[in-house]
Amino acid sequence: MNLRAFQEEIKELVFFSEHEPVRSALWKESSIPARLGVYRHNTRSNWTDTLDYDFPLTKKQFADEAWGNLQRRYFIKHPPQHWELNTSITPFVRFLKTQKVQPYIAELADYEWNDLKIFIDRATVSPGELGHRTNPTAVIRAYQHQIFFWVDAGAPSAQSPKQKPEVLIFYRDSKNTCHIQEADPLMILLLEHFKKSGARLEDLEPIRRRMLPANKVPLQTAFETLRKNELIL
Amino acid sequence: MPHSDFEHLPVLGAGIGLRKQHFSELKKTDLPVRWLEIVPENFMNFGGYPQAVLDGCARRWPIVSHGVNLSIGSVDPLNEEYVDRLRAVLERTKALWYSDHLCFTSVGGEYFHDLLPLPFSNEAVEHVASRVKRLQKKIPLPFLLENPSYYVKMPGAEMSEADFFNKVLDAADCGMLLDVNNVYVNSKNHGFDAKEFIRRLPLHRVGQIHMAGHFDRGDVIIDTHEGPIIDPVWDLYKFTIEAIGRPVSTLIEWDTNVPKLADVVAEATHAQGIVEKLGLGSARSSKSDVGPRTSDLGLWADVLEPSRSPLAERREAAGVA
Repeated sequence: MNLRAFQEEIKELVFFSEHEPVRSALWKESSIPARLGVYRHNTRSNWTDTLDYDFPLTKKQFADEAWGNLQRRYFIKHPPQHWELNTSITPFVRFLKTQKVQPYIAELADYEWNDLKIFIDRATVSPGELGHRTNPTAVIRAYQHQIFFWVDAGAPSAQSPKQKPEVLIFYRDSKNTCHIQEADPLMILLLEHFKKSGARLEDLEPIRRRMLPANKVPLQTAFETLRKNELIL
Repeated sequence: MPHSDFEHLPVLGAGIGLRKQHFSELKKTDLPVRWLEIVPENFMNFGGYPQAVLDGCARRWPIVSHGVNLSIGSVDPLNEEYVDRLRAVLERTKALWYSDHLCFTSVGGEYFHDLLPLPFSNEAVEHVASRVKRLQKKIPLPFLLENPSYYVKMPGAEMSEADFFNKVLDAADCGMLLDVNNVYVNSKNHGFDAKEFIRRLPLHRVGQIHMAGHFDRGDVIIDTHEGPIIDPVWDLYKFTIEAIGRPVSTLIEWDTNVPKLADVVAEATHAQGIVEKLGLGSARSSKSDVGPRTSDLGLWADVLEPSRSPLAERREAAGVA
């Protein structure tokens, strides 16, 4: 067996699969060595531990066996494709949306994922030298449930979050402090505007009048608040 | 420095691995930390606080890099994005050399996130050697390969493990990171003489040593990097240094149930003492920038403890940096 076939075979034996192999072309005369179980255990627990650690509140919504089965189904469909463990479970939130789970659980997973993302985002958060710009770590997420306060209460599985839309902004400031806060439409308009290179505040007023005609908050005041919070740099 | 000149790598004494459990303590420590080894994957994809800590450490101590996912033995193409990110971390930290394991960790673009042994075959020798040479063109720093622990003797062997190592390192012209604990673990799991194995290794290529604890499950010993280093492994360390005949930078690895910084540093100090008792000298440097780079704690002033989002405490356990 050449090196490629050898490595593919080891992968078949070690990765999660629908049916656990008990025989292998590598050990034709005998069954698979029991110590191969060390690799199965190490590999799989490294993967599942990462899901546990990155989605602790999502995990809490499941009984142990159901969570274990969900992990198994996930890793059969999405074995890690990245050399960094946390990054390698990027498809989990998308996968969860395809499963028969309460919609707020998928939203909770999305919340936990973005909470992690802003903590490790590679972007540098420093005041702009070439004009104002939106904090590069800022992520805006819209949910159909009140995830923010539910998480604040520890996301108790016995009490689902209220079904009421909310929009949250996740971001990290220049002191590496992470923030999650509710967003209003004017904030979102400002953040979207300053994603564009060379954006100027005065260009936003006509857009605001057209898109948010009832909003009378002085644009400069809203802008200064976002500057102070480092949502706009 | 020529790639093959591993006997003249800086000798840093005994260092410790940079682990997230020690981030806060390291900032204000006056413990005798001589140098740090980083796992580059814990920083290559991250900004923010982990990167700020790394920058602070690199200003204070010499840095060496020890990767876990280069996958040098994989039949996949060398991951260019990985290599670029690795090079960036090495440059950012002014790393003195870098290492990874003689194993494969991925195949078909999918990652085990574990170290899988290669068959001790001529095909594997040629394959690894050609990849190391390609790597060395991309990253012009001394590169060392570590002997991994293995639990299964893979079919297809055409030579012994020691011969396999000799052939790979000769063909690749790279150095060796000799993990003494792995030799001990493998010798117990596969029933061979650890000292005889060490004698047969290309000791002139050894540029660094790893020491660690392990977990004895009864039926198999597992290389978990946990628990204090046991006396037989310390004895093997002393034997190894004597066999090499010169001091070699030694790193204490802890990855499971990581204790407080003082306990890890105490093991490093113990290793240092063994070398000094042998009268081989504890440190030798061919580079002027080796040794503590600065003791000015003020340099860390900008590395503030992050205050976290409502979910933040779990990040400590999240495997993030």
